Amino acid sequence: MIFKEGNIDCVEKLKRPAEKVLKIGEAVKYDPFERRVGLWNEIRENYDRYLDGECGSFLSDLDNHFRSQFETALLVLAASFRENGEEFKPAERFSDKEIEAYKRIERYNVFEILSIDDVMRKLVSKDDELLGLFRDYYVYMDKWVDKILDDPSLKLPVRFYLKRKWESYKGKLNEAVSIAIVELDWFRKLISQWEREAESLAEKKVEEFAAGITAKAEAEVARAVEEERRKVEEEAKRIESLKEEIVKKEEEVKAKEDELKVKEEEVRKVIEELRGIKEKVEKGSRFVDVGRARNYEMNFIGRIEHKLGKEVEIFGKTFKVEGVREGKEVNTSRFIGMKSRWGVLTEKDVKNLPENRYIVARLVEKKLLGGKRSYILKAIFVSRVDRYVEYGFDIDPLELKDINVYVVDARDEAKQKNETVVLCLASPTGFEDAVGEHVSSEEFHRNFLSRYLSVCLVDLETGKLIYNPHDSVAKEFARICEIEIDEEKKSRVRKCVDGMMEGRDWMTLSDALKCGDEVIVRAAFYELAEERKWKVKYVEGVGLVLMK
Amino acid sequence: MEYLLILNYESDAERKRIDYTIERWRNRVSIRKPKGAVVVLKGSESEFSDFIEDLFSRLELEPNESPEGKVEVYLLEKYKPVVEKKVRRLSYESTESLEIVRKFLDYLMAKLNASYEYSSGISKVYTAYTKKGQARIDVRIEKGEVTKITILIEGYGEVVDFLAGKVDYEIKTFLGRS
Repeated sequence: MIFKEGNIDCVEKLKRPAEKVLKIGEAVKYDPFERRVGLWNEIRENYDRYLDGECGSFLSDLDNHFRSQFETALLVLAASFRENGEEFKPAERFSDKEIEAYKRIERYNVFEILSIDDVMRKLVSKDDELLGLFRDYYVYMDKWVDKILDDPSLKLPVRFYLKRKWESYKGKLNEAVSIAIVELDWFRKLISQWEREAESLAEKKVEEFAAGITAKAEAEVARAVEEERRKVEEEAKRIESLKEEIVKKEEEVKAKEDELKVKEEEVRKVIEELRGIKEKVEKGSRFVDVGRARNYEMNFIGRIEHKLGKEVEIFGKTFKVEGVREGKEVNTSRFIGMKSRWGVLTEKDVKNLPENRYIVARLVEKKLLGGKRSYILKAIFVSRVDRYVEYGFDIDPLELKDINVYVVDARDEAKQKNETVVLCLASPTGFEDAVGEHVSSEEFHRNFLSRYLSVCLVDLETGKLIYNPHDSVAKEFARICEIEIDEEKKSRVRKCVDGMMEGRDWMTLSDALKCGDEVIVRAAFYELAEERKWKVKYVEGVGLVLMK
Repeated sequence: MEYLLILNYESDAERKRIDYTIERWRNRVSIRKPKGAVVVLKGSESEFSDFIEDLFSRLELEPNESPEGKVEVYLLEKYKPVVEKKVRRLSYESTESLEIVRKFLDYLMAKLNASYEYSSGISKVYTAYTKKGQARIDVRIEKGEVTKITILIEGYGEVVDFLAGKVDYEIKTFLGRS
């Protein structure tokens, strides 16, 4: 069935105005405006009626054919309005491209009326118009039509119509050419020339295409450059942020410097104060924290214990060590939970506190016959435990009142037992000069020291020993009480600290630690202070400072 | 009072018609087409403030030029102008056959530069384009003892009366009454 259910007569009737326009073609533009508007309206109305199914439905090929006629007829009218410069808004439904395509193909409509014989006759007479159509056909038209028919921006019914038209024209063109190249020698040459022209045009197109590609490549390069620029900008931003960080760090360093300056100012103030006070100021000349004090204590007790052993040599004679007893003056466990300036004391904190431990031993001369000489050695670590509890450190050397109690007790014990008691008192913060002077004085020797009592004081930081020069027993026992310091190392550190003080008014302990271990540096501080009449002072927030 | 109109158009021809209308009104009112980019911003005052701050930082200014010289700001309020659609209804009767009347009306529509839009079964609808604007024309023909013609013209402004006058004149001429 060709027509499906469609009524062909009905369609023919509806198509009549459209066919009329198509038949007239571009020449319709010469019709009056109102007539063309009338035709437009008629075609539009009939097209609507056809689309509404007034004539039934047809097979798609036929349907495409009918619709292409309606649509192209409207296009022809639209082209006429545009060409005449008439304003007719509905004609805007067709684009310039559609109108141009129609016009170009319609240039060949002469083939609708010419027979092959007519064409040949015109060719023989070298008809310019016709030769021009052949030339364009060979050089570009065929390819151009192929391209335009593939262009989806053109309405499909319009493309359908143009395709059919072009194929019919092309058929006649090719038929005429095949005859002409046999019969007309010059035409054959002309065809070759057009073919070359077409090739050159194709090459030009390729070049243009390549240029397009180059442009694309350039665009790609530009994009890469842009990308690079973006990266550089990002890098610049990163550098900027680094700079900001550096500035921040510099500010931090400056803040630290300022802090140091404040410390320096603090030290200077202390120096000025000290310089203003004529009398000797020993208060605050030490700084021993709780941990260090505890270490001194354990070392001192351990060393005494070790030195005593089972026998000990005194005045060239061997003495047996008997009844060694270790104890502590202070029960620190009672400080657990106590609030102090360095926090509430825990069990661990308390274990770190010095307990003022002591060792008591009886030394009895080893001989078989005759009276045996004997001594009671009391080695006591003496510190102000309450200070360590409260502050976590002590900064003052021991005063007379701190040691008197031990001296008095020892004297009483000696008298009671009728035995010589050697008292060895070790202090982590050393002793005030007054203590040393007192112990070394004639008066002390006369009042306290007798055959019953000898006193030897040990400064655990400097290793300095203090005893009465008239007391030979104390001198002898000093060997046992003294702490062992590597003299060579001590001398090297002292030299280093001394060198660092050149051209300076003061130096903190933390600065001087470059010279060696803290224990030895501390000892060097105190020794230098004593020798050079400098001062060692604890400055809050700074620590121990050696000052000129 | 100043009014800002945003005119959306679909084709170059429509744009031209808008331009033409503006030109025609130039001597009657103060009317101008802003040259720069026109932006309608919807947002809070602080958002607007942030936007304008950002915008000012992007402008290219001469050393002594202030950004206010480049940016005009208006506070907008939606305004719906009351424009009534005009409708003119024309009715005639003819002793001529339906076919002759239909052909005459087709001719008349073409003469009025009215293009066929669609058919509703009982009437055909056209759009007429004139220099005074465009209007919708509804053409209805009913067959009876006489052929009844009803023409409905709808639009804005003077185009309605203008077309009605023309239609009336042409139909009356056709009917031999003028």
